[in-house]
Amino acid sequence: MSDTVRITRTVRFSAAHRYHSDRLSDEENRRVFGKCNRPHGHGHDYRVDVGVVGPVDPVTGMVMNLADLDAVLKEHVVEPLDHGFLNYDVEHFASVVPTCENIALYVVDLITEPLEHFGIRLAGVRVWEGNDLYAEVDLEESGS
Amino acid sequence: MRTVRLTRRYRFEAAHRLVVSGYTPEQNWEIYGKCSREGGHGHNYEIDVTVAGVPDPVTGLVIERERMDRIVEERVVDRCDHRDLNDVIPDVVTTGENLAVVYHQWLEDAFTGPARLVRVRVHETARNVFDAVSLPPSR
Repeated sequence: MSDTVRITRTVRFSAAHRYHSDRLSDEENRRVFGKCNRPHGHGHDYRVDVGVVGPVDPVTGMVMNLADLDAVLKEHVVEPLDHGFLNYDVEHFASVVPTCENIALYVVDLITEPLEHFGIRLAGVRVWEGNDLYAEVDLEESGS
Repeated sequence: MRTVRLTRRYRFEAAHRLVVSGYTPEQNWEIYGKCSREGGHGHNYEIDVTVAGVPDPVTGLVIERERMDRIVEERVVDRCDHRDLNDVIPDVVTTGENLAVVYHQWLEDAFTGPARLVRVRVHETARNVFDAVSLPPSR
């Protein structure tokens, strides 16, 4: 018998971004995105909460070794994104607007498979742009 | 297409007092203690509003921030900021529980799609937090 527990680890990175879609006119971009559309971009100290879920190992008492989780998050999230300009330095965001929503979805895609190598299921990702705004993907709730 | 939840925080300051109308001061003291004192008191309320939807394929947004701000400011913040909540919401006791439910009602029909309201969280203080959660959509 082992209990299932969901644990959450937080990592942080700082990055610049700009909200702009090539599929909208300049005027539409300004209307939809407001100040976030300004050409030279702006930045945030992002916080990412990563939830993983699984049975508690009866010997170690852990769902996942946090050193392994940290290594995955460092390699796949922090190192590629930290101190970058997301629109220009991250290929995915050349064509996808790096909104808080899309960053959360992207982080899910970055870490799902690396976590599976450890037999660990990703439960959700929450991306904080600041203290007053976050976007989250809950993989447990949607059942996907 | 994957659903993303977006949460945005709003703030206002307001007075309130916890009393059941018709109860004696002793009865109210029994239930609410200091919160029932005659002169009332206030809080720096923080309201987390959560909406869910599939991000627009072009803009990448579940909802435009300005639109969300306009809705919440008009329907909640402007109605409550620097007011006595017992005047604003006279029908129920202005507990955190009831405020969460009332704000949820005030907001629900403004988020008809593509983003829909899933939760209103009222922080009365750093220690008292109340959630009113939308029922799952009926089929």
